[in-house]
Order: sequence, then C-alpha cells, then structure tokens
Amino acid sequence: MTLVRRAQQLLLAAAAVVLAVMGVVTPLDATPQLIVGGLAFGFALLVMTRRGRLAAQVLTLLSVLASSRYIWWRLSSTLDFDTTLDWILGLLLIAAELYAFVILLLGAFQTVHVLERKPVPLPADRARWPTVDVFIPTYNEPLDLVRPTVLAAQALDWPADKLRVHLLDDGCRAEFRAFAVRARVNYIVRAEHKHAKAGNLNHALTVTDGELIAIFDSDHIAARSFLQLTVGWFVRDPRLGMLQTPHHFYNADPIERNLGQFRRVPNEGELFYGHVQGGNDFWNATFFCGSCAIIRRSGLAAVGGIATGSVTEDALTSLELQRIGYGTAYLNVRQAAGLATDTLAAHIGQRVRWAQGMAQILRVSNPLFGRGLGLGQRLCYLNASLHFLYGLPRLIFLLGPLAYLLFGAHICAASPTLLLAYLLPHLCHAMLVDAHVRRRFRYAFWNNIYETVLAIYILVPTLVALLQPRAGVFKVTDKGVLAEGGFDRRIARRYLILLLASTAGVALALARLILWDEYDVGTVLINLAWCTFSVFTLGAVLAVACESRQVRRMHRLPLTLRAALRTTSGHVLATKTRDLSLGGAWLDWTEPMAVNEHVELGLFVGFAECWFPARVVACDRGRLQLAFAPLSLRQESELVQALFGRPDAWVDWERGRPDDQPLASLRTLMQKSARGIRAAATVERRLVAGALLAVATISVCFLLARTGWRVQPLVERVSELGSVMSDRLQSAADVR
Amino acid sequence: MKMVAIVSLKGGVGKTTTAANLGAALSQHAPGGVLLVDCDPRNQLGIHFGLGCGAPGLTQRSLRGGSWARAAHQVWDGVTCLPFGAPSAAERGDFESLLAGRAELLREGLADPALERFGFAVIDAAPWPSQLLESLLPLADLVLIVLSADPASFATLPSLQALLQQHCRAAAHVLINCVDGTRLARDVRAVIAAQPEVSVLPFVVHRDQAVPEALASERPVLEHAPMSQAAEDFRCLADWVVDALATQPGKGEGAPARSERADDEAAPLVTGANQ
Repeated sequence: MTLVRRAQQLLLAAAAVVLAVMGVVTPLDATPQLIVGGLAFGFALLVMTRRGRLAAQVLTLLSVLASSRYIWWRLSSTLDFDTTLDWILGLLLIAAELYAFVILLLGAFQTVHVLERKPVPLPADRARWPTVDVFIPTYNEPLDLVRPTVLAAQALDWPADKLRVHLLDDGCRAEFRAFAVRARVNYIVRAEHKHAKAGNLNHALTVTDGELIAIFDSDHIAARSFLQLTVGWFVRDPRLGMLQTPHHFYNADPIERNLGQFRRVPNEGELFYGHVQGGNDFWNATFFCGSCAIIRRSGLAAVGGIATGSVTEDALTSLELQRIGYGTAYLNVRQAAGLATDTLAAHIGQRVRWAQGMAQILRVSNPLFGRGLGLGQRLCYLNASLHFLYGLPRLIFLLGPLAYLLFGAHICAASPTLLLAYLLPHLCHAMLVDAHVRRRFRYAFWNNIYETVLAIYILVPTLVALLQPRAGVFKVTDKGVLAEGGFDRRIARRYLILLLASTAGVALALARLILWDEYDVGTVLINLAWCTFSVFTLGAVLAVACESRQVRRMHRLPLTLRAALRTTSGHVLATKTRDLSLGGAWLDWTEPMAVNEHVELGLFVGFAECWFPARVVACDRGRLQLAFAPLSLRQESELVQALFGRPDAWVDWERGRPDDQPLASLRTLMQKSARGIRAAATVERRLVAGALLAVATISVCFLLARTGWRVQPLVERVSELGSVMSDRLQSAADVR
Repeated sequence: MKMVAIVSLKGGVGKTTTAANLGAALSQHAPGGVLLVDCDPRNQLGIHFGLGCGAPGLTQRSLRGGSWARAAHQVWDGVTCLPFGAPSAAERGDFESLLAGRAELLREGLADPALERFGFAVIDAAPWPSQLLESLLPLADLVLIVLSADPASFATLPSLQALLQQHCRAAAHVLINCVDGTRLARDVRAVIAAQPEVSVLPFVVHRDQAVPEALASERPVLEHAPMSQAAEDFRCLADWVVDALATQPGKGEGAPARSERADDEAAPLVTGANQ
C-alpha cells in the first residue's frame, strides 16, 4: 500500500517536473507568449490577495517559472551576434542576468519556509539554568558609548551567581578599567592584539568558564529580558550551539537619514533579520552576526574558538559549528538595540567588510563542497557569499543600455516585442513576489537603491577577496569629505560619473529617436526606458550622498512613558515623556517654568519608578525640555533600564508602517532622485558642465560621422523633421 | 452599596486625606454618588470639604435615634459626607457603651435606604486598636491600609499582620502614601512589598505639595490641582478600587445600587458645605 502511494507520489512529482520543464522550454511567438504571461500574471494577482505561506510559495514558484522561461529563451534564442563588440557586451549582459537568476533561485530556496521560532520558557528549577558570561568587546569606541551597554548587561534578569559581565578592552584604556571597577564588572585585557575582535573574544574564553557566552558589541544595549527569552532553547536542546537575535538600530542609518525615511521604510537590515534569517533557521543555517547572540562554550571549544580565517569571523564561526553537527537558531525578537553607522562613508566601509568577508568564506571554507553540511546549509551560505558579488552585475545593469545607445551594439538578438513578451513576466512576477513575501521587510525599488549605493564600492574588494582570500582587510575610506550642504563629494564622485554616462545615454536615445533610427524605434524606446531607470536610480543614490547630518551626542528615542516632575517647591506634576535620551527628555507641559530651574524627573516603567535630577533647558509650545544633571552610576543604570531595558522596548518600532505599496515607493524615490540630481549638479557644477559639453560634442560628431562629415544632410534632416512636426501640429489643431 | 474601609496603624500617614480624595475620585465612577463615612472620633474628614466641625454626625443620630441620612451633607459634586459628629465627653462615653452593647449598630445605621442608594461608601476608619474599628471592619468589601514610605511604618508591620488575621473578612491591601524620589522611600516600599501575606498595591501616592494646599483650600486635590501627580495617583487608586470591587466575589448583593437621586424623600440632605 505504502509502496503504491510512494510510486504515485513519485509519478506525480515526475509529471510536475516534466510539465515545468516543458513550460520553461517551449518557444512561443510574441503574441501567445504575452497572452500566457498575462494569464499567469492574472493568476498571480489572485493569489496575491491571500496571505500565508502557501500563497507565498505559489507566487515564488510562478516567479521562478517565469524567470526560468526568460533565461532559457535568452540562452537559446538571443545569443546570435554579428560583431565582436556585440559578442563581448552581449555575453557580459547574459552573465549578469544569469547571476541574478541564480541569486533569485537561491533566494527562493533559502526562504521557502521562514521558521518563526518562538521563545521557550525556562525550567522552573533555577538550578538547571546555565551560567552565562556576557562578553562586551571594545577596541576604540568612546566610553560614553560603552557605559550603557555594560550597565544594561549587568541588569539582565538572571540569577546573580550565574551571570558574569566582562568588558573586553582591546584598547587597554585606563578609564575603561576604572569604570569596570566602579560598575563591578570583570575587566579583561590581553598582551597582544592579534585577530582583532575574534582574537579578543578568544582570549576572554581562556579566562572565563560560563556554559553560555552572550556577545554584545559595545553599542548593543540589551533589554533586561534578553536571557530569559533566549536561554530556554539552550536548555531544551543540548546540541544547540548558537542562537542569534536581530540587530536593531535606534538611530537612522545614513540612507534612512539622508532620504528622510527613518522608520517609514524598512531599512537595509530588516530584510535579512525579518525574513532571510528565519529562512536560514529552517535549514539550520542561521548565520552568527557577531552580536546580540549566545554561543555554547563547548561548541566554541570544539571548533577552536571564534574563527579567524575571514574578516567576517562571525558567519564563519557559525558555519564551522554547523559543520560539526551543532544546531543553530534564530529568534526574531528584538532584545537589544545599537547604533547604526553615522556617515555614508562609514556605512560603505562596514558593508565592504561584510562583502569581503563573505567572499573570503567562499574560498577559505567553501560551503558548497566542504565536508559536514547538508544541502540546505550549503545553498544558504552559497547565497550569502554569492549575494555580495553583485557589484559587477549591478554596474552592467546600470550601464547596459549604453551598449546600444553609445556604441550601437545589439546585445540581445531579438525583436523588441518578443523581448518584452519574455522580459515583462520575468520582472513583474519577481516584483509581485517581493510585494507579497517581503512586503513588511523591503519596499519595492529600495533594493535597487541599497545595492547601487554599494555596488561600485564592493566591486574591487570582493574580487580581491575571491582571488587572494588571505589578503586582509581592504580599507575603502575612513572619513567622507563633506562639501557645502553636507554633500559627500568623494563618495559621490563615482555615482556622479555613472549618472553623467546614463544621462548621456538618455540624450543619445532622444537624438536617435528624432534624428535617425526611425526604423528601429522599439529598440531605442526599450533602451531609453532602461537608461531612464538608471538615471532615476543613480539620482536617488546621489540623494543618499547628501549628508543631512545632525550631530547629536545622545540619540533621542520617541518614547511615551508616564512621568512626574517634582519642582523645588515640592509640587509634583503628572505628565508624559515625548522623547527621551540618556542626556535629557522632552515632556508634555503646560505650566510656565523658568529656564535653569532644578527639578526631579520621575519615570514610571511598569510598576517601578525612578527619579533623576534635571535642569530645565526650554519651555515652550506645550513642551518642556530637560537636561539631566550628572547622575550617579545607579541612576544612570536606571535610566538605561527605562530607555533600553524594557522587554517591549522595540516591539512596535514599525507600528503604523503600511505594507509595501510599489507605486508609492516609486513616487517617493523619484522625488528623492530629482533632489539628488539637483544637489549633485549644484555642488559639482564644473564636472557637470564639462560632461554636458562632452556629450554635446560627441553627439554632434556622431551625427557628422553618420552623414560623412557633411553638414548639409544634417540641416536637411532637421528642417525636414521640423516641417513634419509643424504639419502634425497643424493637423492636430485642425482636428480640434 | 460597596464599602471601602481606609485604615491606618499609626497617625500621620494620610488615612483621612486618602479617604477624602478617594471618595472624590470614585464619584466619577458612581452614578449614585459616593458616601464618605467618618468613623474616626477625631472627626476630621469633613474638613477636607470645608464641612464645619460642629455639625452633628452619626454619634448624635445613634444616641438620639433617627436616620443617619439626616446627618449626611452633600459636600462636593457626587460626594456626600456623613461626619462622626463632635460628641461631648459624655456623648462619647454613651456612644461607646452603646456600641459595646450592640455590635450591629454600624450595620444598621448604614442600612438606611437613603444611604443604600450610594454606589460606594468610603469609610474613614477609627484608629487601631479600638472597638469601633473592630466593629466596622467586617462590614467592608475592601480594606485599604495606608502606610507612609518612612521607616516608622516598619514598626507597624506586626500589628498589621495581627489586624488582618483577626478582623479582616474582606480583601485587604496596603497603599503606600507620601512617596518621594528618595532612595529611602523606595527601599521602604521594597521592604513592605516583600512582606509575606501582605498585598501591596502596584502603585503609590506621591508626596506632593498640592495635597496640603488642597486641604487649605477645602477642596479635593482632584479639583484643586487636577494636573498634579497626587490627583493622578488618586484617580489611579479609584480605578483600581472599582476594578477590584467588580471582580471580587461580593456579599451576594450584586452590582452597586443605581437608584436615581431624586426619588428620595426620607433624607433631607443638606446641600452645600458650610452652614
């Protein structure tokens, strides 16, 4: 009976595969292809209305089929080139498309089932709770940044005899030692400083002995419930080696800030922590991300400590753990928050390091062929590594239309109609999947911006890392150079050059459309649309390079807490906070209040309350601004608890944010793009003027070259066009 | 009528102030109004509403016979106060012996139909230990024991335990009053909260200059300084009391009486505070 059923299942699967393959490889003409594509798209739109995993999987399947069909058609019917130039450019394009296709397949596989793991309660018997060492590695961060992290770690809800906090100071700074003594945490330094953070952690492993190790970067402030919510999994599963929680940032990263979209649009990290890591977890391929995570000491010991073979030591460590059979887990509860990078330059520098590290992993510890991994794990790591190689493909997609517009190269040997008939389903289905599956984690067109910002900067480092994996860290830039209005000229220069090239492409396309090529209007139009999209993307990227910088030592959190203000007269007034930072607070307020008056601010968190001495800074329009007076260590710790320690501190961070609306995203980004182009043109007047001149000269030369360097035919053509236009206008007026 | 008794174990912790302000805050929740009953021979509850000390109260009514309701005065919107009365020494002696003879005196006095129509009665209880306190505790649906956040409150903790065990039929909870931002106040609160078998309310009433000022102006804090933390605390307390009374298993009388005000002919309630 079971045999029969098994056979039936096999037969069904085989039939499905055959059908799918036939669906992918059957060639069709433009019209039937468009009809089939349209029907599939209509079906997908129906599926869109359903939420849930099955709908997502159906949409993904449709998208994979549409894309496979497109790629098959491209490979089988469009690689028929005439000239050498056509061959070179055409192969580059198809290579980039193949790369994107592979990433699409791997991505679909990786997130086929997003595991939404929930916290496991701890056993009632506290004797079974493991001992925990909290590591806070630091190297050159200022003490002000590290203090709240240490105080929050100390306040973690955990039996005092089972919790030890260690400050791992690789900078050997006296003030850090003094602070550690005052705060009563363990202070660890080492004699040499090999292998940076990995070395620092490994050294601390030798002088501690807790069963579990919780690691927080020096700016990641933990909620008091961090261990309560996470450790349960380690008790339940003795083979669990590592558990990661999301990295949450309470300030705007440069992209969010410069585009003015903080908390309105999912940031770059949310796709990974909201969606991809859950997918990884299903395949037991959760990546360790270096912070806000717990590792089992015995597991670390078995792999020889934190790995040092890559600049992304964290991901490599989890890979090694998984190789020897340890489980890994991802728990999507935000139980810590940190600071995002301040400047675009720093943002790029950090991402370049990640890209380089993941590329190194591909060589140093090849996840595809190395021992010990399951297929799912292999493909997840392969995707993570390959994903960071998007530099070159992105550039090819950006500059692709120039091949035809500038050089007249035909890089896709197909009629424009047929191309559209195959291309549109491929693109539209991919967008539908994103709008459904990723609707809460990444908005349409934003991926384009996030990747284009980095593409040109990670191109070389990833290639170097692939060729020479042990070459070490590739430093791009430490500091940006801010020009007037905060425009980062140095970072923006490369984008600007790409933008000028694309603008030239648009100009050429218009010229071609009007002055010649009227026999191939379709091709010109497709390239024009493509090139315009590049201009749009690069404009938005330039807007990112306009650093609208607000330097604030303490980041304010919009936070409504019940509060009370005690004046020197002994009156206490009930109020609410509007926002709060480690330096001060804004309150709802209606009474008159003298500036510099000394007050006491009481904050009510749950049933607890704590009071802080403060000074009135400003009082106007229903608001009162306070700056805290110097706080005792105990008060500082309480303030950290009120701000960051609440278990629900980050629960409704994105409350009120709608699901993805592709058209709204497009509109927003187009506005930003226009702003970016304007800003760039203002700051780089000379460069832009020169480029425009060059484009004009080249265009004229082109035209002259086509007419055999005689001006006469050109003039005739222009006047002919003029008369045609005036005729048309005349006839239009007549009709009216 | 649901009865809330406000009890203290030492002087100066704010028992009477709490009773007065809780009564005012509760009136927002009680369509039938709130009855404040002063069962403290010091007769100070009325002061919070500007009710003169000379007005006859429940002692005089008990001794001379007649409805207690005749001694009640509406003192604030939705709040009616039944003073203890300022008995002479002889009257006090008579009242005590009357009480010793008739344990049901208080129950019968409050069972007046004209008083039953109030949604809530807040009783400012007699000091401990006393006959009066022991006879009124069994009547209460809810007992609130007021402690102040000072070290002297520790000393009262053993008597608190004894009181709860011997006389309290109803749920008893500790309310901590006069809390300020000092470390001492917070530690006292923590120690009291850590006592076994003592239920401490999850919120406190803060030390606030608005409270004595409200007394000086003979109005509840709620009216005198509605934005103050103390007013906020009393509103919070009233909310909690309403919740607690609604969820606890009552004495079988169901929801608080909701009869309308106008249909009462038995008690010519004196309106206005001063007379």
